Amino acid sequence: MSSLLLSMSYFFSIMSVSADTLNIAVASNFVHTLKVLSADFRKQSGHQSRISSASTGKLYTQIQHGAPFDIFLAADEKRPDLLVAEGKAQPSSAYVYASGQLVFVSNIAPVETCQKVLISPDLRRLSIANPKIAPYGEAARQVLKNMGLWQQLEPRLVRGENIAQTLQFVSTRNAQAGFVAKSMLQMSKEIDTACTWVVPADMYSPIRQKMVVLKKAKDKIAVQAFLHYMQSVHAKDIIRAAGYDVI
Amino acid sequence: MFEPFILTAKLAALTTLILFVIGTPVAWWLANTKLKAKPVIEAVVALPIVLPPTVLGFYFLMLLSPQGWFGSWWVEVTGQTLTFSFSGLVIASVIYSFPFVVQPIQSAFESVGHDMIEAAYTLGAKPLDAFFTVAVPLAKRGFLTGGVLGFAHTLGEFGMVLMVGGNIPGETRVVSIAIYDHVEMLEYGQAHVMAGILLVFAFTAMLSMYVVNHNLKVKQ
Repeated sequence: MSSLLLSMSYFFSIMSVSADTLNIAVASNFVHTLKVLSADFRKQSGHQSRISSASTGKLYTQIQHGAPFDIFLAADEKRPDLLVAEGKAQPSSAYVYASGQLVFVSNIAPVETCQKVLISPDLRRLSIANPKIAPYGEAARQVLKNMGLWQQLEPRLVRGENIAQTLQFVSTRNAQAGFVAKSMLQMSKEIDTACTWVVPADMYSPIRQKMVVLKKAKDKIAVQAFLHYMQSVHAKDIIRAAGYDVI
Repeated sequence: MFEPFILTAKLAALTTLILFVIGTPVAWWLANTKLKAKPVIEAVVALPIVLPPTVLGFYFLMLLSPQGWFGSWWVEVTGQTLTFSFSGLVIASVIYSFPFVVQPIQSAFESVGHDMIEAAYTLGAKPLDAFFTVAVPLAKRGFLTGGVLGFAHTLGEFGMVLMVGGNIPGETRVVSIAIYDHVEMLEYGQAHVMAGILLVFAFTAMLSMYVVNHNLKVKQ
């Protein structure tokens, strides 16, 4: 019995030395992909991850107020850059891990092309992420402006507080269509839409998603390992397969 | 800046009004029924007090959606969808604030007791007459408490509106959501102003309720 206890305590002490738990804050659009990545990372390194997801804006505010995260995977460059400027994140750790692609999804079957749904009278509610908080929402706004449809559609907009809620409005059929992250469509199985349209990248400014290591976590071994892992070919393949561009 | 306040006041006032109309008979019935199933119904009425707003929000999202049974019926009748609309928020708020209006009125009716009503009957009052001229005035503290709590609780709604509102200015962007938005956008100045106004209002409402209630009690 005592030898069992001894071996158990030995086992746990080894674990605490070699395996760490990372606290990762991630923008909603990337959470599915991060789950795949962190499972893979754990297989390679033994390090666990605890994932918290919300809108980039909310996570930024939480970090500013001392939320205990080690790594922040944002949906934009602005918030990570701000954290670096404020001295809360490690400058050398800033890395664009993915570029997001915007996709239009519709529950209304298209007459010709999917984007024609945008001028359909059946489109009562168009779901976008709140442009003021969420980068994918801002991209959606730019697309609608480019198409000359912003004024016409603005009264019909519903604003998700993050990209996950934006898609949820469409998938529960409360909105007839919406602009979401391509990655979310590829990852969620419950989505069954009438048509989708991958918006050409030249219709909105690029959604460069940046990650940073927060200052107080910079000495964690697992953090450095994760940074390395994210820049590996293997990780990039996973990210690409999830519907992002990777440099 | 003030649009969310006007919208919120409209929502809370309409909700309270509707709750008086449908809550009063329910409260009266609950106060007087000898039905064995009374605790079951009381428990159902009390549910919104304990359920997280996310549970109600989730159910409303399903129920009020153009595909849901209630939402689709509403679309047929009015041509409007319920989610992301002011009408949808009113319906959701009525259920959300139901116990806060019904419970104080019910306990007020219970404390009026049957003797007074019986006395009115023997003096020849018709039931409805007795209800309005005897029971309601005697229960006015309950109505006051229920009204203030119903109104204030609707002001305090957040999680549910976040889930079924869709953040539409002038339609579903109530004060609590507007504050949340300002905080997210790091516009702390505006958030402070709005939060401050709400704080002062809530305190004033509670204070006047307790003061008036106390005075009524002393009189009685």
